Amino acid sequence: MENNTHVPDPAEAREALASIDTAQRAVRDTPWPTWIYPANAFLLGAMTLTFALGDDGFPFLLAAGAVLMAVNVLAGYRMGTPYTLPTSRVFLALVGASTACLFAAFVVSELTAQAWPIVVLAVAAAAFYLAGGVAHRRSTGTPR
Amino acid sequence: MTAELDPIIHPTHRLRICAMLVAGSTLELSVIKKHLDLSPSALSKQVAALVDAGYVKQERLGSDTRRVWLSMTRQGRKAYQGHIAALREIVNATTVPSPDNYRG
Repeated sequence: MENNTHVPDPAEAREALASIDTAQRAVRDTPWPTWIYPANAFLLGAMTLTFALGDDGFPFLLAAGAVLMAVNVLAGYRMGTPYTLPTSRVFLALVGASTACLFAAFVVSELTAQAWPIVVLAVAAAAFYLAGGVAHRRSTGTPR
Repeated sequence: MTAELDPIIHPTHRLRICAMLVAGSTLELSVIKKHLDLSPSALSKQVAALVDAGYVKQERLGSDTRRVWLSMTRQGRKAYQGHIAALREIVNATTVPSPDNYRG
């Protein structure tokens, strides 16, 4: 086991910190398979739509949520990076917007019995995710 | 957390392996190999040093035993954070003269 640590000078320390950043970005920006973007967009839209079914939609919401998680964890394991968070801020912001549509659908379903606002929110959730997918793919490149 | 250079993490390749594991939580060995310019035997040696120190956990999950998964232990994460803090202290200790210093 090493006992003597060479103390780096400021330039070496700066270089080491930069190499860490590069290494972390390389892992976090591992390209995702193309099919995962429409699959996630569809599932997020489906989860949002379940609020149009009232209380009957709850089991479908849980099922779609479970499928969404399973699909992403399994795809992550296949890629070798199951729990990495992408660096693309545009992607993360659009996923946030998509999730906000989901929560908005919950609130709307409590306020009104009309289905069309929920359908609009479901389409918006899917569209936000797909737009985020485009930003993510641009930041990572295509998978090899 | 104490800012301290860690002799196990200090070598460049080990530092980068730790950085990747901190970013990815759990990673397959092949992902690390792809991003490091190392031969399989050299990579195994670097990973073994981290595993022996108790900084990295190595396991095979599920039915596919060919795939090796790595993750940082709590001890490893603590040592890594201390090492990074020490590197930052070294960088920050470099005093860059501000333009105000030149004003009479």
